[in-house]
Amino acid sequence: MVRLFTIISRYILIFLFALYTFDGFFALRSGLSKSKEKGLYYLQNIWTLLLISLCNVILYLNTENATYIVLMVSEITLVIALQIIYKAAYTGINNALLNHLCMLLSLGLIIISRLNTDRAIKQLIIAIFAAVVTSIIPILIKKFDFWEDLQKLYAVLGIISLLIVLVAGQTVYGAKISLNIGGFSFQPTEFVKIFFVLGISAALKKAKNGRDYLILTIVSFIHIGILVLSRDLGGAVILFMIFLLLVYLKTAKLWILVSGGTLVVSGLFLVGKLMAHVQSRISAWIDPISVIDNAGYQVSQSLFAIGTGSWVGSGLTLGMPEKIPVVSKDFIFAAISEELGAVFGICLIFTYVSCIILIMNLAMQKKDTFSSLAAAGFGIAFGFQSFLSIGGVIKFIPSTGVTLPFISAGGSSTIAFFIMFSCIQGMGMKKEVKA
Amino acid sequence: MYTGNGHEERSESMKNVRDVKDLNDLKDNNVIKEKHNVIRDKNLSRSEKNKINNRFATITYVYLFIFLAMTAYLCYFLGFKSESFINNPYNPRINNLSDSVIRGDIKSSDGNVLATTVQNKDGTLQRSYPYGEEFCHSVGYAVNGMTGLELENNFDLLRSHSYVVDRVQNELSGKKSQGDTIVSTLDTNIQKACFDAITTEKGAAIVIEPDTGKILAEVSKPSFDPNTASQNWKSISSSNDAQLLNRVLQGKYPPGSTFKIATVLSYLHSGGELTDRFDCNGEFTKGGYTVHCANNESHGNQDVTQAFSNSCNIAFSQIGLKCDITDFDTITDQLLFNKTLPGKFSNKAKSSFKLSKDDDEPMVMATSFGQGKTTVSPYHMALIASAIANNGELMVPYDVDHIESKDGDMVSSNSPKKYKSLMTADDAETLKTLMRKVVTDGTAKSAFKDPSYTAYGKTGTAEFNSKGDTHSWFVGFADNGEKTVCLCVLLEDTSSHAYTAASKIFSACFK
Repeated sequence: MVRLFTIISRYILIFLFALYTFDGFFALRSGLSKSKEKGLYYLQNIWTLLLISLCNVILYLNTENATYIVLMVSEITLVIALQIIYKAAYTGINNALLNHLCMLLSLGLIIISRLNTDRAIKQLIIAIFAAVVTSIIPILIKKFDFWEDLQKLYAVLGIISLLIVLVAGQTVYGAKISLNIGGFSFQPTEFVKIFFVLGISAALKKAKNGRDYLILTIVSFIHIGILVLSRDLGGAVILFMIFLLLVYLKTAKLWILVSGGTLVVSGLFLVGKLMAHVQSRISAWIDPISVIDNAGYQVSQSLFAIGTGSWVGSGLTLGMPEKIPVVSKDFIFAAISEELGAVFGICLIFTYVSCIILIMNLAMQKKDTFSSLAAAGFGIAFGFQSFLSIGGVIKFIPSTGVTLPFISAGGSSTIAFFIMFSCIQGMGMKKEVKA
Repeated sequence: MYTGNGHEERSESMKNVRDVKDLNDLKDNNVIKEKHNVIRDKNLSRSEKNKINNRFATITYVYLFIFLAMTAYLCYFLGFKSESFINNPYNPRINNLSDSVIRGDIKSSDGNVLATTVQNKDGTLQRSYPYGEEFCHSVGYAVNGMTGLELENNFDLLRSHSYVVDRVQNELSGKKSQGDTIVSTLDTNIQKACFDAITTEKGAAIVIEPDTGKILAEVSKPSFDPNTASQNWKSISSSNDAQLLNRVLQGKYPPGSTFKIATVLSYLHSGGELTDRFDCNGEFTKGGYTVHCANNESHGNQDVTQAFSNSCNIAFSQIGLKCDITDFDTITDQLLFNKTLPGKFSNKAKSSFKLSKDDDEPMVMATSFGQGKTTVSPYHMALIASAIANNGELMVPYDVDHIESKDGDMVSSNSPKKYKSLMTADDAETLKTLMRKVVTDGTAKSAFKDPSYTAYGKTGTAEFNSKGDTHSWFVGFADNGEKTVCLCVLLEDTSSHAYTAASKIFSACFK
């Protein structure tokens, strides 16, 4: 009976998430009255809470592990607390973005707990910590204006962090990305994205002539160059996208987009020629089955999971996502798609799209260049990382080994994206200085 | 999609001009002519604001595009690619399906059960193979790992397309549903004939229908009984005779004189004629290498047709030396040497052919009559014969005719597909004539006495060590005006003749 219940609930879960996604897009339409918009956001919260409850009930029934009940209560409490505290503390908060944060975070906790309950508890603690700490960021951004004067500090912090990783980092799956400090694995690259966005935005606001742009470009490429040397191509591509798109936003020169695109393609080609670790990822992308014994194993297992789960999934606990290496981090989308179904996965993709639209819309309305560019920069980083992660998992693009924002297990990534979201919220609420 | 900027824009248009300036680095002071043309300013500021909004919109649309493309790819993968992709022995999920499905049956084309699942007295399920050893490599086994049809159709055998109501009922009562049935192209009579015809300890035989690509029989010896494989696994897997090896697909043998098919084609493409004549005095030496014909026979002066049917190594050494090496390469390339062969079978060996302009005369001579560095599988030789019988066109070989549910409803079916032309129709016709001569006047003339069919073929005796021990080959086809079958037989390390086995198999095909 539990099995049947699990199988039938697949449809309910898809339905809930589809409703959530639909409400999110419906609320984006212009011309909607404020009260109606508010109503939709409340509905979204209800879908989120129902989804958390149902998933945890299924997990509990299948495993009879009481931890899931504890997790369910904690997750529900976390979502309600986030909603109440943020809304009470800040007027003018972007409700839609807050809802998405709650949904993504809950989904992440659910799927991580399905894979490993201990890890989920760790992740929950990290999330609570991050939520508490970052809740003051919007105030700091609202109150102070010195953020845009610190571009030198951002650059120094960014470059030093990257250099430390390059020198002392551990090599994981061919790339140097993490530091081991007192038993905790720490990934500075996740935070460098934040410094990078703030630094470029600040520099772009002040850039007046060619020399300013040249310095900006050189500093950016120092960042990217160190990442390439650390073989963290995912990170390098994300930083490059931030640089490229922000310069385009400031200058409106379409040729920057075109030549930047050409540069990144030829750069990747060159790097692919030179680095064995990249070559193997590309051959795994072209035909994973032919190299299934080594480089193609992970992508093949991921596609087996997605393909076998098919549109509606196998049902929670009825798949075998644990067969995919690093499933709780880079390949978590495969686990979601296998057990909850590809339709669910597509709703997730659209939730990310919705986030990007919301962030870009928020950035567009800012009249201060720094706030506008920084918010856009965070949106670009967030969106592109989501794309790299999901695209790599479904073999749409070669796998770059980046985490899925707010869903993948991992402290650095979760905290970094919390910071980004609170910065965006802060930028959104910041009063415009009127000259 | 972009809410909120509509009214703001109107009320704050003046300020917008300044902010826009900030964003845009407009040095043009003309934009702000506050005291004068206010309406013009308004318009200007609006268009400037729109320009900036456009950049944000561009980026948003770029993102929208890549995410939609990614979603489309996911749908495409699930809709068209995933079924064949996930049916892979590395996918651990498929065996999970056996929790709710009873592994389906495998049947022969003549309706006999080749593999089924039976319930033991204690209620456990067990795979049973009524034909035992006979189909051990072609049907394969699903005990310690998987091979053959069991492996290729693992996913289909573990899916049930029986009536939905039945399946839901089973689900509710916790019973397993019956998996689908694989109806193969294998024929029990022909398979038995092949099994019996291989009189040596080790050997291989395969029978294919050239105009469809259907595999009618496939036998590799030594074999073992898959019913008891689990108990006897240790002795089977450690046997020195490579019992687990499917020699038809995985064998890598020197082709011996069967390779003369390729040599004669290369010779004709290098400008040679069938009427060209060569001398054979029982011995031929060039570059310090002496060639003898089988049994030290001396064939005298013969044309190419006679040399082919007598399988004269001396004539073929001279023919090989006259060939253009580039033509040799082109022909073997077209005949699929060094290539992945068609057909959905795992572990197919690639045949290998290597000859370069730098090779010395002995190497060219040895290669010309199928020694040298060339290796082939019986499967590959059968495909070449199959193309010759089918006007040069090779059909994609397959061994599953269709899949049906336990209630007999068709789930999916295979139809013949053209793979590619291995040679022109003219070349195929020429080879057909030559191969007919082998049977009427040449090395195999004693074998094919059965009047129910007309046989074509090429014999081969391939040395595989320096002691002069040999494998015996026969590759060819036969027709009776209604149907054509093609086969390849290989007997390892023997002085008996593969053509004797071939004639028995043909007789079974045309009975």
